Amino acid sequence: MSTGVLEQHGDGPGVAPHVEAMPLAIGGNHSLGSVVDSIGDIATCVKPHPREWYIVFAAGFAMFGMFAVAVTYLLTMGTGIWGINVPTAWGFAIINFVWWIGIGHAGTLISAILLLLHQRWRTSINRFAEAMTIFAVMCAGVFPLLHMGRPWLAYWLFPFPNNFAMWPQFRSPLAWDVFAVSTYFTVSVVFWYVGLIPDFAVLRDSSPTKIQKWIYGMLSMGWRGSAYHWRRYEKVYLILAGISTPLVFSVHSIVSFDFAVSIVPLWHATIFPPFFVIGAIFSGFAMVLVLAIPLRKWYHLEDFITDWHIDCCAKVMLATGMMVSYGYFSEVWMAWYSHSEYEWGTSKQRMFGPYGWSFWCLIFCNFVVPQILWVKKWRMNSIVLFSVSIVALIGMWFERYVIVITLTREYIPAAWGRYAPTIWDWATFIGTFGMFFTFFMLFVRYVPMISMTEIRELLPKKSGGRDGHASAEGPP
Amino acid sequence: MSDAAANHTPVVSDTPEHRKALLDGPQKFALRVGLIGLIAFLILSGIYYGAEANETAKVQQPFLSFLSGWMFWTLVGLGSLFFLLVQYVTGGRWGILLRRPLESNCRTLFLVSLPLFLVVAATMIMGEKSIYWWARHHHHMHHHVEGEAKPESDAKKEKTQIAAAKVAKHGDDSIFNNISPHLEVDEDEKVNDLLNPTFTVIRGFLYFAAFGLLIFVMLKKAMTAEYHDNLDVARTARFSQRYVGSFGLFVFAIFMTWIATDWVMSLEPTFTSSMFPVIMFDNAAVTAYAVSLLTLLYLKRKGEPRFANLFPATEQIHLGSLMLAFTLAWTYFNFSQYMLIWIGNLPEEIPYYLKRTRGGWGWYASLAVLFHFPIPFLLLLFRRVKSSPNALRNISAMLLVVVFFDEMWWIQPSMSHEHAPKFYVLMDVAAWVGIGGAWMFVFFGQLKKHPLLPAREMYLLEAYHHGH
Repeated sequence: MSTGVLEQHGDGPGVAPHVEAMPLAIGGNHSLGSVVDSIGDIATCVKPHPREWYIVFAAGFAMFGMFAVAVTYLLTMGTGIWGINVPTAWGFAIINFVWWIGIGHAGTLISAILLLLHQRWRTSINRFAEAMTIFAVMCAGVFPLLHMGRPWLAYWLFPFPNNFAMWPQFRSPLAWDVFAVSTYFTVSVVFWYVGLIPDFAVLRDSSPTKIQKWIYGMLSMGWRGSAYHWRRYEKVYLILAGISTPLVFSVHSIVSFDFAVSIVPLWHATIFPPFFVIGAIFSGFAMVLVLAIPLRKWYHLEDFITDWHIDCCAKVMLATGMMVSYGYFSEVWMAWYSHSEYEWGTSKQRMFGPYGWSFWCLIFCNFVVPQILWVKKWRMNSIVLFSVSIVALIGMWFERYVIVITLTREYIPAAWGRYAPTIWDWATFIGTFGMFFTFFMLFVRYVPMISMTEIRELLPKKSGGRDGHASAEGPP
Repeated sequence: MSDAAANHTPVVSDTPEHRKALLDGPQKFALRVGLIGLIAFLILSGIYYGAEANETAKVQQPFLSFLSGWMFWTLVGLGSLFFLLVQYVTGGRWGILLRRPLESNCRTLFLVSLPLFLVVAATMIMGEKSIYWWARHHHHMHHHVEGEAKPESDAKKEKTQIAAAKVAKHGDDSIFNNISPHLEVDEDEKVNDLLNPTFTVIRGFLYFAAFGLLIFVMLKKAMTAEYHDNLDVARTARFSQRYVGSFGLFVFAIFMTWIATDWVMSLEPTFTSSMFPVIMFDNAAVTAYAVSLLTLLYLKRKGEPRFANLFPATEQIHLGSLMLAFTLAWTYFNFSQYMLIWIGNLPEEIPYYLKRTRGGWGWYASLAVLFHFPIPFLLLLFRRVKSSPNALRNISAMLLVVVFFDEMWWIQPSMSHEHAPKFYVLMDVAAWVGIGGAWMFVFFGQLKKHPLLPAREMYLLEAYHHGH
């Protein structure tokens, strides 16, 4: 029966019913030069920056100022100005820490894991996603430091020989966090910088002013583009990708241990590590979309960040959103199955207690709304996708809120309490947005936000590229 | 006929006779091995029945061993269902070669696993001789022995009795003393509303029915997409497969959780771990993948020209890397579960690991970890290993064995074997081999029924390899 199918129809490859048109990694008709013109000229300010850049930067910088005020007041008065109390000793600080650090994960996933998996769609988005990672980790790091109350003693977190004979508690995942997050930050910065070196060299050679040539020249560390340079560059890039890959999992797993090693009902859940990692990727991709959609419009980068890239990110969001939702199901199911008074009791509190609204809010944001992404038409609609991403970011923030708020009602009712953030909690949290957007906008202004080197490799051979590493799947 | 279509000559050689010649040999071999395994299992069970002094344990042990073997092969089917659903949703190149073995495994789930579920269902309704504590507990609650006082309705008293019975049964074993009556878990309620025998048996059949419906719809659509003469109809079928597949994955995740809870996790009275279904899923994925990979490598070794061309070293490296990923995931999931339970040290959870690290099980577990993580990890890191058909075959086979020993480790220590004849391990292996033989016999039979490659999508793979 099957033997005759092809002959009967006389079709070529088009007979495969599920195949659509090959997606485009690069649109337009670009050459090696036009890539630099389109991307490099933004960084060297040859192209004027759009008005939106100034608006976002100004807003970000204003919020950053608010952050400075909030932190100054905090350092003057102490953490009592926050809403934290007993039992909810971890308030906004841990929620925001986990939320920001989760956002960072998408950057590392895109730059490292997708590189190892030979996913070509990472190329246009990896650079700014890595920048996002670095700034997000900086925002995250602020919170535990401030929450310590005496951030000037933060070096006590590191094990060093001292007169007090005082060491960190090595069985505490909070101490593991110190190592995990600082390693993650270091590797992310190195990975990002190594990837930037050939691009800095291009800018050095194409910058119009002397000072730019000098600065980019310093940053490119003597890159001449010789075969030796390329060979070592590709090797070190691959090695760094290999080092970064486990970090995607380890950092957020350790963050999840902060909760899961306790014996607080619903915190002590063995599924937490993968559940947190997936949630991190979900929120990270939401942030990537929140940044990519306006950027490509404002800077007319549709040729490089094509609909295909946006679609891939949306699909990852949908998939990870479903996995995170499985986590919510699993938590409730296991709490009920255990027939443990406290597990199930706390679950009921979580769903129907005084903070029940936040649980349903997270279900709405992370499970219900992303279902929209099943429909290709809506995935392709920038406004819809942008809105879904914002909702997902809110949902993932609520996820951590719901976890932390569990502390208000756990074991003995006599120890129950309430938690509400103060204006200073909000000011610090919103202030970190200011920090993030200030740095990110400066990055957009002075650093090529898309890797010119890698885009050039994707170009067809006749335009001077490498045909996307000679892959037969590449665009014509 | 266009040039591109002319390249599809392999399809012509894919005749039933051809497949029969290829697969008859291993099918007969599977039948023989299966029969030997089943006979060995029956004989060993008989000997065990005579050798074991404990009246309850002599009945329980064969069922427990059977569960070990049956669960393994059921997971092969479930893992295949998972990969097939993902393949239908994403349509990745990786799944084109794997599709037929996966489909055959899914069909085998119904032809082998479902009938044998009757044996597992039987032990669920066997009352005080069941391998499941809840079935015994249910029996005690509802069928008290005449002449004795009716069991107290007071949950606390009931629990004290069970705890005392456990201590009496297992001797002065401190592991079991840990399950003390002051635990916060209400066992009576647990048995009443979820783990009562009737409901659990019905749920078991429901899982099979739901998965059966899913597989039926999916394979029907697959047939339409692959063979229907009208290309528009075929295309519509392929697109609808994506949606059915997505919905299927949703159902799969939830049902897999319930299956893990009902059939394995509930062997322990108070053990609850949200990671456990995930670990079980990972094992299912590894075994399904290993069985499919072994099939492909066999076809390649047999000199099947298409497999030699379409399954070259580069493709092997891709599929081997996926195996590496699942091995790493297993380690990650297991370490997380173990570390969190160890550090929490709660009386509900910790007995699970205490039982499984004492009385020889500790050595056993360490060996299982060694062969499940460091060895395959170090081997699969190297492209040379992944591109060697023999090495990849040996690693896949090793993982099949290791996953079986891992699953045995979940199941067997739920009973105390302190005074038991030690050859019960052989019973597990015999059950595994016996059911495995039956499984592979049916599997090869199913594989023979359809062309070994999905013709309409082969060009994707061919284009890829020509490009290299």
